[in-house]
Amino acid sequence: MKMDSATAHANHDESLVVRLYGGDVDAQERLRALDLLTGCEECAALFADLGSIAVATAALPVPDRPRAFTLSAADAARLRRSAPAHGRSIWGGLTRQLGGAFAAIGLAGVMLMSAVTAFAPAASYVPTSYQGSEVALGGGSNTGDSPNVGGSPAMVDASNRVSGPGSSGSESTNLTASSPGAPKVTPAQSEKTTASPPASPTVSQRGAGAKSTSSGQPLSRGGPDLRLAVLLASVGLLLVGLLMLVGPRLGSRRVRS
Amino acid sequence: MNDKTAAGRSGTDPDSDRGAAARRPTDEPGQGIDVALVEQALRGELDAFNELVLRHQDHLFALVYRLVPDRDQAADAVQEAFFSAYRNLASFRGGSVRSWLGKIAVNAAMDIQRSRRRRPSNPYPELEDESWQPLADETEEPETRTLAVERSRALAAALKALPFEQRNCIVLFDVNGYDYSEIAAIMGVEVGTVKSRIHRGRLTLRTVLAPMRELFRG
Repeated sequence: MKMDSATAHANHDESLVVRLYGGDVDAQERLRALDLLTGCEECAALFADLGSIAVATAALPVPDRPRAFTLSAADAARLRRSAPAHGRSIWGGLTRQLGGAFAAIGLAGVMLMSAVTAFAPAASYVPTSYQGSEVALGGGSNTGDSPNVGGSPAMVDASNRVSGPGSSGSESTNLTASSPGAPKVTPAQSEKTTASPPASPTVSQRGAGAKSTSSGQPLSRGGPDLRLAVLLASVGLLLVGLLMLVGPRLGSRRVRS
Repeated sequence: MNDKTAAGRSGTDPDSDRGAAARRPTDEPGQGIDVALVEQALRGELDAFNELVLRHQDHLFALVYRLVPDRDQAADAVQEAFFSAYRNLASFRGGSVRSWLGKIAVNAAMDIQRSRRRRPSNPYPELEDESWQPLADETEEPETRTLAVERSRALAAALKALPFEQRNCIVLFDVNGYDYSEIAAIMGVEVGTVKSRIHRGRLTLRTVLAPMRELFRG
């Protein structure tokens, strides 16, 4: 089929011809492209032009290089020195990025803990100093050896209020803990428990709801110790991050001065 | 099948089957010498490194000049490439020293192109400067000589009009004989992207040069 009209060529896939030239065709495409070359003068001309342009590109004149590029001893010494400096700059960049991340996480932690402290209801935590009560809340794990087993009076009251007759499981252990049969609380323990913040009915309710871990720990989230730990960790991260961010600059400034 | 056959490399014969291996012999002449020089340079012998520089500076300058057609900037890029090679001698993992240096030089050239794109200023002054044209061959007909100069000028202008990504790919493929995957590795893009850039660039060149077709058919 000899098609030499421009209209026929307009329907031909020029990119196929270009890809044939670049060797980027599979067997079928190659056959199609060769058909185009043999059947269409425009396609054949395109192929020929691509060859001419490539040859001319490779033959483009290049001016003489303006200088030799050999290294002087001073260059070599400078480059040898700059190699560790290059490593240091990579390390410095990594340190800055890590420092930024630490500072951001630390700041977020501090802000989160501040928000939790500010907005959470005062009674929405179980003081961990009430380990005895928590053990008691755990039900069967209470052996009666716990020194704080009685918990604070308020807590016990609340527990009693919530867990009325007919409650079972851990609720009954709450009652047990405050029952006369429970081990006596020593004065020191009483002092400790009295000094502790009172637990709220809410918490007791949570405890009464028998939401406890297998070890008898209730799932009391955000206790002051935990919050304190998170807060301290956040502050620590923040300080470390700031140190990593600012430290190297201070160091280099000191060196310069 | 991407047989990497640049049919037109040898002219216009679509059935010619000269693959990448054929046009870029893996056993480059002097490869053993290059590797030995690198090893000596690694031991701190500056003379050995400078010997390497002398062996490759013309080739690298020609390569970079086609990417950055400004003599001074091309020279700066080549110098920077040799500095970088010296700093990173330990990163040479064997193979072709010529190819390793070529990649470093292309990267240096691309750095210049990027900075140029950020701060465009008289992009290619050398193209207007005819002083760099090679001296006329005494045996060459004046007419042939004139045609060659005109062809070079037209082609340089057409190359200049291409986006530098396309120009780099075409130069690396057509002039330096890198294959698609090597170019992809150098430029940090997919092989398909390289192919597409080359094909589009070729079509654009052909379109731009269409009015001057006779210059290329002579």
